[in-house]
Amino acid sequence: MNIIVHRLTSVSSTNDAALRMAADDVPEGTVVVAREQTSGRGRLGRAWASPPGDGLYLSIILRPSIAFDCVWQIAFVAAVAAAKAVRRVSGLIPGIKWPNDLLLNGRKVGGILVEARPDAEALVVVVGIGLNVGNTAFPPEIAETATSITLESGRPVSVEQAEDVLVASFEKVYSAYLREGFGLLLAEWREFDCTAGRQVSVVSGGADVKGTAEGVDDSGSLLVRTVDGVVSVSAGEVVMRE
Amino acid sequence: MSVDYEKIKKLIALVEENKLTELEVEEEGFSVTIKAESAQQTVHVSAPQHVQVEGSSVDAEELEAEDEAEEEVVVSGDLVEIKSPMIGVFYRKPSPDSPSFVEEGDEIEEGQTIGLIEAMKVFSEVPAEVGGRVVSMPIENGKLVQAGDILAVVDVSQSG
Repeated sequence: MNIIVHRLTSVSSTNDAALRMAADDVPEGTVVVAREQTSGRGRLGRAWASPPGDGLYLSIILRPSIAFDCVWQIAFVAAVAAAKAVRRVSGLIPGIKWPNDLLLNGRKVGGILVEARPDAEALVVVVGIGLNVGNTAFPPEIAETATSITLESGRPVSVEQAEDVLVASFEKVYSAYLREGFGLLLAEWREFDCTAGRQVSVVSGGADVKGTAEGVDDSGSLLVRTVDGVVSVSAGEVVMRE
Repeated sequence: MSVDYEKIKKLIALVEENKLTELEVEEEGFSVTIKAESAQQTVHVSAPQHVQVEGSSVDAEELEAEDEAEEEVVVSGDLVEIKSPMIGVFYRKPSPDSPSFVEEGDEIEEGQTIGLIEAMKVFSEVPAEVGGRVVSMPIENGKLVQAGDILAVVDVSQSG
């Protein structure tokens, strides 16, 4: 995969820009990085605070030769790649909250939004990653739950440094996934899993699943032991309870 | 999709006319087996696509197509069913406050996004494989779907 980085000063969202570029046949490995996102978004259009300066906002365009119904595996690829990058620059071991939220000391340091579209010829996947790098303060609504690499590690990590490490990490992890398959990747994911063993509540497909997280099965689904038995969850937002 | 439905229909007619119980045809890149069971035929086509045709002897019109990388489409007369390509949560709109991608009654074009399926936080667009008028969208926003569940029924006689 050849990495080609497009640097933008300000964009509505790097995923939106990447999706537009993908429609124009740009090659796999094209990366869109923005200093600022004016409408940075996460799951279901939720806002991702993206002020200029302290955060890394990037999207990577992929054209993987995988079946459409395996596209969810890219969420795990992105999570492992980002976790390894955060570990490298912070010196701390991040946790992955199923399937791909990045936590440092229990607070969210990074988020990932993967969007896919089956085109006539191939699958187009855009992996958006937001990392809080040098932030020292957050909007009030997320002040209790968000953190940054600098806040947790005390290291003065620059956004550019984080970008270099993240892109290199992604390239390595994605290549290994394509070469070796999902099994090894999932084993790496499990090493960062901070959901297993926790009391969780997941709203998924209109149902509210509460219980103890028991890790993921080979299809990436979160297993939750509830009073009615083990439930397999393939979508939704996990809330970890005390 | 290069399966020749007209050819399959002609073969079905051949089975009916001659009251055959089974007919196998093999050509390069195409093979089909048609079995007549009183008022019903079952047709299996293999390589490169897999197509199954079931229906009464009068309206043997229902064609079911499978493609590994795309959602299944079922044709019945002018109505085409767009099926979920995977398990996940189906969203009819990009975010809770947004309008739906499509509504019942809308005219849609082939390739137009009719919804999103979330699996493991990966949001996959579901493009319409055909153009026409949306007759129904049987799945509510935010509900879990299995692979093969019907997401939309499109009347292709009303395209363009």
